[in-house]
Amino acid sequence: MTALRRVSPFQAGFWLLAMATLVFLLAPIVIVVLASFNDNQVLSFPVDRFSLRWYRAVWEDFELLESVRVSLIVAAIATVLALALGIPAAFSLARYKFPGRDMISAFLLSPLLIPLIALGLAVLLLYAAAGLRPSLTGFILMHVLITVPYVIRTVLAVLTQLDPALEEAALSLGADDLRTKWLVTMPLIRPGIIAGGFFAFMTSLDNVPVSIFLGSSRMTTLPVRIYGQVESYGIDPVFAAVSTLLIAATLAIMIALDRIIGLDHLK
Amino acid sequence: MGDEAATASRATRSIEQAGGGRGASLADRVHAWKEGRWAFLPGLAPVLLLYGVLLVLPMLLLGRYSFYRTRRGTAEVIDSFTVDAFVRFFSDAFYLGILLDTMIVGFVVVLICAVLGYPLAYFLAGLRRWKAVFLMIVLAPFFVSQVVKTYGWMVILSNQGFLNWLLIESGLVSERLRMLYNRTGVIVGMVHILIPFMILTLESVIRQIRPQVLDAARSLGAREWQVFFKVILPMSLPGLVAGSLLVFSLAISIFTTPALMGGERVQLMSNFIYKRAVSIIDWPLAAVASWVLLVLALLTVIVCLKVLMPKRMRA
Amino acid sequence: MSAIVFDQVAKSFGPVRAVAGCSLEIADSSFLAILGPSGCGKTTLLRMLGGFLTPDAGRILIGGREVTHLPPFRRNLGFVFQSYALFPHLTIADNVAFGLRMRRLGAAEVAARVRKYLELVRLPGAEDRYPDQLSGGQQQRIALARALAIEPDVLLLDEPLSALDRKLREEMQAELKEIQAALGVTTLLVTHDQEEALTMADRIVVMSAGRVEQVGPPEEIYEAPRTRFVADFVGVSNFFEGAVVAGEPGLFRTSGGTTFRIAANGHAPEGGLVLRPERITVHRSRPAATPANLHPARIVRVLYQGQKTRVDLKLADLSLTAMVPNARRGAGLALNDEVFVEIDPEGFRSLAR
Repeated sequence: MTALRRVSPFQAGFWLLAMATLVFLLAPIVIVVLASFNDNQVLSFPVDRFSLRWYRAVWEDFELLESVRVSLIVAAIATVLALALGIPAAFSLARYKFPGRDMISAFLLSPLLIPLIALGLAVLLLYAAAGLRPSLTGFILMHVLITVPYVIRTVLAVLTQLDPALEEAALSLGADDLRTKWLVTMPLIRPGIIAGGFFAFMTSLDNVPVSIFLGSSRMTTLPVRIYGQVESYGIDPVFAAVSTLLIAATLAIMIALDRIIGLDHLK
Repeated sequence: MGDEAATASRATRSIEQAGGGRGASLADRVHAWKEGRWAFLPGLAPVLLLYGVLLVLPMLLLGRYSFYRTRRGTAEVIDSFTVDAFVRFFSDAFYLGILLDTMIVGFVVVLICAVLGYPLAYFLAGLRRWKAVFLMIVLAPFFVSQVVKTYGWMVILSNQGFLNWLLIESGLVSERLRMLYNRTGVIVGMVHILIPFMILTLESVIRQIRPQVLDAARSLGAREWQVFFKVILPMSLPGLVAGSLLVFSLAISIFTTPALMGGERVQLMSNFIYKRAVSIIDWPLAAVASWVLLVLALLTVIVCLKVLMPKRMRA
Repeated sequence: MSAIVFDQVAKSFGPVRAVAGCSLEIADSSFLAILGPSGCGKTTLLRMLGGFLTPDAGRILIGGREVTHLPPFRRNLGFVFQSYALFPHLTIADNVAFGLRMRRLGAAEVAARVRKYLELVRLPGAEDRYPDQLSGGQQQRIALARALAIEPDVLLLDEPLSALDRKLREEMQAELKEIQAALGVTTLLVTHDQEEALTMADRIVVMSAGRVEQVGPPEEIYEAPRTRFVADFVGVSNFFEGAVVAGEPGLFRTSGGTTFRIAANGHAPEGGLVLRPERITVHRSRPAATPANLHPARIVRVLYQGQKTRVDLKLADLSLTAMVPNARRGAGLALNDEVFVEIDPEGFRSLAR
């Protein structure tokens, strides 16, 4: 019946708009990848000669590679810390009723919604007031602050969806609280933890408005570096190559995550 | 086998008896403690400490700075308590213009996100077999770094860019169009960054509309466009409102995209704050602008929660 | 296998008294059902026995040992949850073996018991499958096997069959009852389904608003309800308000003035009388012999229900419901028929309060 129903012009228009949006979503990504293989000295179209020269340029740009290293270190440590702080916090919020719980929950998720540029400025003022110099520790802790809400949000979501009877079943079968958590709860909320970690990692790797205030010439993350270069010198093709590498890495991680936990957890 | 079971049962029993007395094992103490009144605290304490030092304290300092004054002609702040910076911000047409621009751009972005995002969200919500593929197409741009996406749009929209090449090659225009470093460019870039939020919010609401309801409308004689405007759209309105408020609050805060794509000619609140914090140093004014932006963003969210919290508990 | 004692157990949630000073004894190896509407406190009672809630007051004993404050993992109880609560990340064998491994049994013993209990629930060979590959009824059996495999002192069933469809539910009722009888494990069933309680349990506890209304074997609960709540909640009932005629203990006059002969069964009917619908005989014409209670009535509704027909009647100012067995072509009764109803005086039960 449904298959036989005639498609009305309205539905057709709707469908076309949906496809147009898909094209719009993919456009900059596809174009960047194309541009990265163009041999021209300045960025231009059409792509008439294929070349890997911009990838070689990336490889030879030590400052750029250094900023990749900084970014990966910061994102990795911040993600681990965000998980270490966020998972117990999500447990407390999901499992206990206490006065002010909703307020605390909203407070802990607030970094998702406050303008990060304001937060960045505020922390800059704190550094100035306390006479602190830019340090990797402070940098990482700030990244924990902006990534931990993602962990709390995703873990909280899986925890509240978890049937409480599962843990009770384990307890009644003789598992004490620690073994219940280890053998039942943790495996079951693993998708939420992985998704939260992924969100945290990507958010840290992506951040500009906070990192730009707290870095130093020796401690510049990749997005801040790209930002600074593009702002000063315009669209240098070398960044098309860097971007393509980043896109490839992102896609690879996403495909892996789809296999492990399913994309639904990443929404 | 029976004997072993009995032994096992006796073994548990001996632990059980220990559980009641003073010599309770670790497991019993953990359990008793978990049932206790303060059991929620250790999980929250570290994260609250972090927030206290790196969120609350800086924000208080930001508040204090907005009441400072700068020494005329310098970046030096004078330890005082004055509303000077507030007066300067709210009495200057240039500053208020930036605030107004930020909000106008926010509205336009929301509007475009809604119009472009809705059909795709509807399409996604109805998918079964190819869902994973299309979800990937929507989510991949979402997770790609914002700087990369912004850079991608600059490649497309610049004078030597892809779109100008396409337009000229196809003979649609004879002269290269200026699409970058102006408001159009900024809006295109921001829509691209923010539309996934709209799509995902809408999709989760539309997916909950049961197809039987639509069949009921059709059985009562509604045409497809009537089904959409009279049933689907009203039923997904909470999602549309939530998505719009979310996109708006993000749009007024966004930094990277307008900073790169706006160039010198487009200045929004976040870029203004950055400039006053770093290049034309005026911390009191930057602090006031931060507060204005913060209050605007939070108001949007609070409206969102008040309107929608009873329906959907997701933040 | 142990007897259970609830001694003045009470539990409140904020201002709500879920269980109000409840005392109960459950004999060793018996099958007791706690029956009541949702919110009556039956689940709270069960969860306190399971160790998931701590009573505000009172004691709970299993096999003579006080367990009131013991954590669940020290109680050796088999719990079957309404949602089954099978571990979705473990195979069926690992699910059944979970409790055995917690008891640190050897691998051979674990394997043997898993096999034994999967056979008991008639699902041998399901070892390597995952819970989501099984049907609802099969998951239910695995949940039962998992609870029984630890050879618990007490088996607790929390609305175990409510997610199954009717036919499967009836099969499982019989099967559960057989398994319980074969193993002789003391069993506590919590349900809001009266049919489930009546078919499966040796004794039934009817609860309402945190209190025990009545305790007794199924026949007694159904045939001789003591309170209006029990009569109303279990089965269909006709209620009569009024009083015994002064000086004539065998005669009851309703507030509307109709009189009925009743069997003098001891106590005075303070809460009025109750009559089960199958105790009413509907005659299409006046019978030759005149029985004790014969009244003219008019049929106001006829509902055909398969084995029987439900007939709603108007008798003077009273509204009555009768259940008439269907012989060949229904009960042969139609709307607005003028009939005679005969009521067995033994059928009346007086209610407390």
